[in-house]
Amino acid sequence: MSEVYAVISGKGGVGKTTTAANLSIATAKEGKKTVVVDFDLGQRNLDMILGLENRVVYDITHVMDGEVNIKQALIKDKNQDNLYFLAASQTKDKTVLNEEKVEQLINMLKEEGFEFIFLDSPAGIESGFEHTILFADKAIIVVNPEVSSIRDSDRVIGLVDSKSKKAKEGKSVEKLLIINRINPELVDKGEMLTSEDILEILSIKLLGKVPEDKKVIDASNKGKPVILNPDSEAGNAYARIGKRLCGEDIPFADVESVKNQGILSKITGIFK
Amino acid sequence: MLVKQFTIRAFEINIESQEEFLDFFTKNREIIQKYFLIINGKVTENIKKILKEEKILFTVGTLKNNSFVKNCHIQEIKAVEEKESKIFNFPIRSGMEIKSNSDIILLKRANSASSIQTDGNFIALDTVEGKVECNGEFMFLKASPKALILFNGKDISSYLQKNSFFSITFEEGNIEIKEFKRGNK
Repeated sequence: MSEVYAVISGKGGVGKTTTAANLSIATAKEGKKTVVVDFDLGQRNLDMILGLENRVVYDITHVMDGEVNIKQALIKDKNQDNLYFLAASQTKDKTVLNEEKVEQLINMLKEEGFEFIFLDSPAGIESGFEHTILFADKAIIVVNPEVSSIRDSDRVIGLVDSKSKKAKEGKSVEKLLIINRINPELVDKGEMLTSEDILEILSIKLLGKVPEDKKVIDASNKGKPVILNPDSEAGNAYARIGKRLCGEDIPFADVESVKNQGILSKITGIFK
Repeated sequence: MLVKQFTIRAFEINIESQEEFLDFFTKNREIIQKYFLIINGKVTENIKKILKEEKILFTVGTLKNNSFVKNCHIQEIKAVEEKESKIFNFPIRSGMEIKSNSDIILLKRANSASSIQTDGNFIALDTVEGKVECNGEFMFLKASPKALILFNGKDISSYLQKNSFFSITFEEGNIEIKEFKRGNK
């Protein structure tokens, strides 16, 4: 059975595309047939993060306009057998999307037997975002622990509750929260919101907590998502989230406490 | 020169007969006493006398085309009185806007950049972080320092800075704010 996940945030630059890329690899590694679709028409990035930029021949608009069939446009990942990617158009903008075409595209992906369909939403709340949430079964909200990101996420949660097709039919779209870029040092100093604070404000189910990790930038630049690096804390966090999505009961790791304090910081900590 | 600015609340009333007005006045005296009246129609000596005795300010004419005066007729006042409270059992999220004549009861948070406006009373059982504009007689809430709370035209946010619940009442033009503690009456 297919499940459509919209990966959204409202605010740009919070790690939405990185999250979509890593989660799609995570579920594929769990043996689930997965596709990740870049809905950010005109500003595509997912191909670079997945390291597939030189493989894009056809994109989402070619499929929606009937120029090619879905099989021709799907790109098989070079590392994961179960993972496929559908690129956004870089030359056309979001105005080419309409409800009928998006529904047809989602149905084609379901017919291909994908168990997980991740839709990477553009930032903002305009038409590109609205089309991403329209046919979603579940929404993954990516948030950074800072007030502007939380406010924008709060806004898009409200829009999911009012504008998705399920919501219009009186059903509810499950909303799952990923708190990204948690910095334990700042949390420890009281300079960053804790996950408890964020959950109290947003009042939705927690899916995972991802710590700040410098390896993420290097991984994106190299087109080798961080989940493939076993030494990456962020990569391991994405792997745990993938297992949760596949139904495993994985406890939440403590990514908010400062680890491996040096002797000097331990001594200064005593006198705090 | 001394200039004072006031926010007043007014009823615009169309008088078609003295009897009808006096009947309405008798039934709604408590509400009307707190308002300025803009009367359209014939104001008889008897009506003038009663309004003077009750110390109710009024003017004759109409402000229909003036956008800051709510055009509120007798029938509408009755309708307002009959409306039920609105209860919200989900968070009021950023970008949501609620406008109502009824009493509003929030069971969950009102988040930053949400907006609630009511001519009735307002009760919130969780933190309010957005904007609340209440023109009723009573409020009960715990406001975050980021919240904007307007009560009968006055910004009272700065009086609600403690992390506590407050009860706020509007009586005879005065606003009274009390911190709520267990055992308070």
